[in-house]
Amino acid sequence: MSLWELSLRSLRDRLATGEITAEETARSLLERIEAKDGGLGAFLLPLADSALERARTLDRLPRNERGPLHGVPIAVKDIISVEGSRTTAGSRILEGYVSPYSATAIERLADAGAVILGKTNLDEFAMGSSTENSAFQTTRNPWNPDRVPGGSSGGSAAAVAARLAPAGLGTDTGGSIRQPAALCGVVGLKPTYGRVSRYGLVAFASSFDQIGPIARTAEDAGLVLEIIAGADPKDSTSSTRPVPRYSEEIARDVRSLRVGIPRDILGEGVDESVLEAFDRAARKLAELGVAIEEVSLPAAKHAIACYYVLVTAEASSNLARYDGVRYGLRTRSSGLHEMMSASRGAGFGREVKRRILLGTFVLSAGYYDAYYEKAQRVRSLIGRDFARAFERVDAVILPTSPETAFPLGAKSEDPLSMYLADVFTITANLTGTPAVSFPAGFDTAGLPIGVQLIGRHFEEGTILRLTHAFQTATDHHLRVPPLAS
Amino acid sequence: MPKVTLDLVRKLAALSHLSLTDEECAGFTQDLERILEYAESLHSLDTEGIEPTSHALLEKGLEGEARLRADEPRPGLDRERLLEGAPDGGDGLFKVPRVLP
Repeated sequence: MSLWELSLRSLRDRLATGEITAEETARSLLERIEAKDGGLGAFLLPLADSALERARTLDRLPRNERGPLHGVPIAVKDIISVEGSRTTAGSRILEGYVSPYSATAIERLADAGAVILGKTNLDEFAMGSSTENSAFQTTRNPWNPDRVPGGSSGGSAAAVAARLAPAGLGTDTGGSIRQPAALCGVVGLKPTYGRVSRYGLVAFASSFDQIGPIARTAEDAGLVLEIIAGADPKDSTSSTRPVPRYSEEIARDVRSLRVGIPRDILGEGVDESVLEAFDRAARKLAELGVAIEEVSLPAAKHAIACYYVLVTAEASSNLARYDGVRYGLRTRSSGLHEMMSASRGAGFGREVKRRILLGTFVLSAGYYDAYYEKAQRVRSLIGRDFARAFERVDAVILPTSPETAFPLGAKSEDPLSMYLADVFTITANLTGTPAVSFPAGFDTAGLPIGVQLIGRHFEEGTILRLTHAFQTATDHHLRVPPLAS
Repeated sequence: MPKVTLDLVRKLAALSHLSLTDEECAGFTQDLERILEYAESLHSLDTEGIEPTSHALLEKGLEGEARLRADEPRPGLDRERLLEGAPDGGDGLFKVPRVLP
């Protein structure tokens, strides 16, 4: 078996015993990226030289100084800062920008001994559900090159699915880790709001954004999460709660757990194949001894409307910093305001401009109460629905995406249809709860289907445990996409 | 629901410091109209007496999760290094086009 085929857990174990070196591991993955990524487009920037140099340094470390992820290669969404590397956030406005510091999540991975393989493609500023909004390149779905990988963390999801990296970091503001994980047939975990520091993450919508892992198994996702999670004085929204050993929690019995199905939001617009796989997954959990019952989330059907009002408002404010002064693109112009407007007009893509305009609208005098504040109140209602459900169940189960990977270009001219792709994922962002997507089957065209579990705040261990039990009893996650073979 | 007009979009673009082409303005007028029409569903919900949520952990007694650190000076990032990312700058300053005539 080649090293690139191994899961994160088996790589970690072999690296820890010295059976394999960090250098040969990095080399195996980098050669594979070189050979395969031309047809896939997952990486915007492979970091071959720095990865190999880092791996050689790690190999020279004495055993007792090696970290828990010693020599493990990881792909990073290009919206997370890695010191000395370019960070584009998928946007022309940041073309050529080099990060002067690393994100806390990256520093923690580095301290644990991980090797950063490269920066992966994404929708511009993480705004999109197909990675087609990247200003730089198209990423293809490893299961079918004419299909999207999902988004916005499409590069990391495609890289993990195609075995170009055993794990990747993504970010999730409305489903951007889980939806591409579902469409690429891998595991994607959005942690609880506050679980992982966002220091060094290019901000999109600050009351929603979270960094999380994409991997092949719940166990591998847990191994990454337990490293990157935890309090950080540089992010006041990071929680001081102790970080559990998720990779150990997953082995606990699931037979005492209860999972709820919210039938009231599982109505129209969901592919038959997705619903079938969803029902099969719920039945499988029941076979494993999990109690399945129905729950009701009446306000959740307003989640998309609520989300797009709030998220565009926050984005319009966060993206005000791209003004041609401190970093990124500047378009020469006579006056200061003319320069700023021209730089932003030239540097931002269509979807980003659309969201800035919408956000400016919902925050403007006369419309603030009717849109922004109204949506904040609806957000509270959705939170109450979930709180009520979590009094009865330990997790809520939903499909991750209403459909499997759609053809490239199918939705790029219709923003609203793209927004609807987030229908099942955004409630976890609105409520700040953790959620995981895992592979649960394939449609008749051979495209993967993802199912999602949403847990109580800070109970990532519970949803990973359910996912692990499901993966132990099924083999969907072991299938390898055609582009990888 | 307000009528989304070309003038409104131009006004929003000016407020957002976005220079847009006529073609872009026309497209965004249609897009915003459709998106706001969809968002109308929010108004069908009764939110009387419901507090707005501005932070994902402020409801449900999780307020203590976010906190402020002590206000003590500490070294930040290197100024010259940060200025390297600027399109124009030097001597510890960001340079911008002339502001006063």
